[in-house]
Amino acid sequence: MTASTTYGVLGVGSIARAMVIGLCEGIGDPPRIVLSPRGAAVSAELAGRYPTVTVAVDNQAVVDGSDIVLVCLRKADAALLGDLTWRPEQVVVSAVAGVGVAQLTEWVAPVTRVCRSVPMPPVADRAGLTAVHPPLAEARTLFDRLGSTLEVGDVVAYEALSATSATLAGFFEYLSTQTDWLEARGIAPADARRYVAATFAGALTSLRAVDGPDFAELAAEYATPGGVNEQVARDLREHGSFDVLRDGLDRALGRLAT
Amino acid sequence: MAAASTTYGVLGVGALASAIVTGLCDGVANPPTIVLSPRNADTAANLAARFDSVSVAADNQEVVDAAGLVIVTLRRAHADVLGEVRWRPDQVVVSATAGLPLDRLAGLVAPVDQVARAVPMPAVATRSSRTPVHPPLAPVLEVFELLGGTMPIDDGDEFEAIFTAMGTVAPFFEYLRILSDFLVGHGLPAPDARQVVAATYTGLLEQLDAHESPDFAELVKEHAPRGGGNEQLTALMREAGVFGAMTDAVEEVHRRLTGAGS
Repeated sequence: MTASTTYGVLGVGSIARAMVIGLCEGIGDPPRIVLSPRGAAVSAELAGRYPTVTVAVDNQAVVDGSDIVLVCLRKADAALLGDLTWRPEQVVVSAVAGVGVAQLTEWVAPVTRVCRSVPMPPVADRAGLTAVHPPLAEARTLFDRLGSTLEVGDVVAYEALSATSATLAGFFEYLSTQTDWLEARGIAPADARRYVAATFAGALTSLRAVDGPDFAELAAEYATPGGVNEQVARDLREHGSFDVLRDGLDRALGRLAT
Repeated sequence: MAAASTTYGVLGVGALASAIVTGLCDGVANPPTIVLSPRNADTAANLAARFDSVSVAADNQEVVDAAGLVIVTLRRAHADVLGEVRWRPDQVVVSATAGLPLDRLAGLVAPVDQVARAVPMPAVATRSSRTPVHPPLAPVLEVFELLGGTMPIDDGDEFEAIFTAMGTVAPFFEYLRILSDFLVGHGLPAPDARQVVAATYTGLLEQLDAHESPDFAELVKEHAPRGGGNEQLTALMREAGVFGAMTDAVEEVHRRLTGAGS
C-alpha cells in the first residue's frame, strides 16, 4: 500500500466505524477514506473526527474515489454492488457475512482482486485478529495495520471460522441466563449483572494472558476438584448439552455457507 | 493491622492457593510473609522457591501458629482437619472451600470469631479479577483487594447463589474448546483455531469492563442483527435447550450445595 492509497467504505455501521478508527486514531499519517452517506450519523461523526475522512454523495462516488473498497453492507443490501461501475485495477475487501467470492466477483466485475474477511471490534484498537479468504496482499496490509491477519486458503475452513463470530450473541445469552437465575434468587438486577460481568471479565482475562490457549487446560484450571465448576460442567455433560452445541454449530454452518 | 505486616497462612496448597500466593507476591515490592501447609509438597516447594517471603511449614498447626489470617483452600473432603488444629480468638479465617457453609466453618475453627468465605478465581494470580467476599470483614477485604479487588456481600443466600453461578466459567471454556475443535474439524490448523476463538472472545473484554453492570439482553440484541448468523445460531441453541440446560445445571448444583429440597 502506498501513502496515496484511498480506501472507500460501503456500509458505515459499527464494524466499518471500528476499522476507520483503527486506521486513523492517533496515527500521524492516516490514509484517505471515503465513506458512503447512508449511515449518516456515523459517517458524519467520523468525518468530523478525522481530517482524512470524507463523506461521498452516493455509493458510486465512493467507488470512483477509492483504490481499495471495503464492503461492510448487510447481506440483504449487498446486491447493490452489481449496480455500481468498477475499475479493473481496484481491490474489493468484503466483510459481508455469507456472500461468497464467486458472487462478489460477479457483482464487481471487472475487478479481479476480491477477498472476504471477518473484522471484529478490537480492530478499533489495532488489536484485531482478522481472518481473510482467499489470501490477498492488499487485505493483509490493511488488517496488519489493524492488528494481525489470519490468511485462510480453504473456503470450508473460512466459513467454519465465520460461524465462530456467530456464537457471540449466544455467549451474552449465556450471561443473561445467569443474571436471570440470580434475580430469581432475589438478587437485585444491577448486582446480578455486576457479578456475572466481573466473573467473566476475570475468565476472559485468563484467556488473554495465554498465547494460543489450551481451552481444556483452562477449563480444568477453573474446575477446582469438588467445586461448583466441576459439578456444573458434569451436569451439562450428562445432559448432552455440549453435544447440542456441536450439532448447533454444524447446522448453523450449513445455513451460513454459500 | 496493615497487610504488609500480617502473616498469611494457607491450608490446602493446590492450584487456587498457588494463584493466590502468586497474586500476593509476583512482582510485588513488599510481599507479605506466607506460610504454606506441607501436604501438596511439590506445589508448596515450588512457591517457596519462587518467592522469598513464602515458606513451607512442617504441619497444619505450624501454619496456624504463625498466621494472623488463614486462607483455607482445602477440598471439602479434607476440611475436617480444621477441627484438629488449635486456633486463637484473634485470628481471621477465610475459606474458599466449596460446600463448607459459614456456620460449619466457624464451628471447626472455634474460638476464631472472624470467619468469612470468598470465591477467588484463577485470575487472582495476575490480580485481574474481583473476589466475592462474605461477610465483608475488613481484614479479609484487605487481602483480596491486594488480589485485584473485591465484591463485598452482606447476605449469605446471595453469596451462595453467586458462588454457584460462578460454576459456569469452566463450561464456558469447554464451549470454547468445542468451538476450536469444530474449526479444526473443518480444516483450520489447530493453533489458528485456538487463536481465532480466543481473539473473538477476548475482544469482548472491553464490553464487559466498560459498564459496571452491563445489560446482557441488550448485548445479545446488539450482537444479533436481524437475519444474521448470530441470530440464527442463538435461536438454534435456544430451541435445542442449551440455555435451559445451563439454568437446570446451576439450579441442581445450588440445591446440592445448600442442601435445599431433595
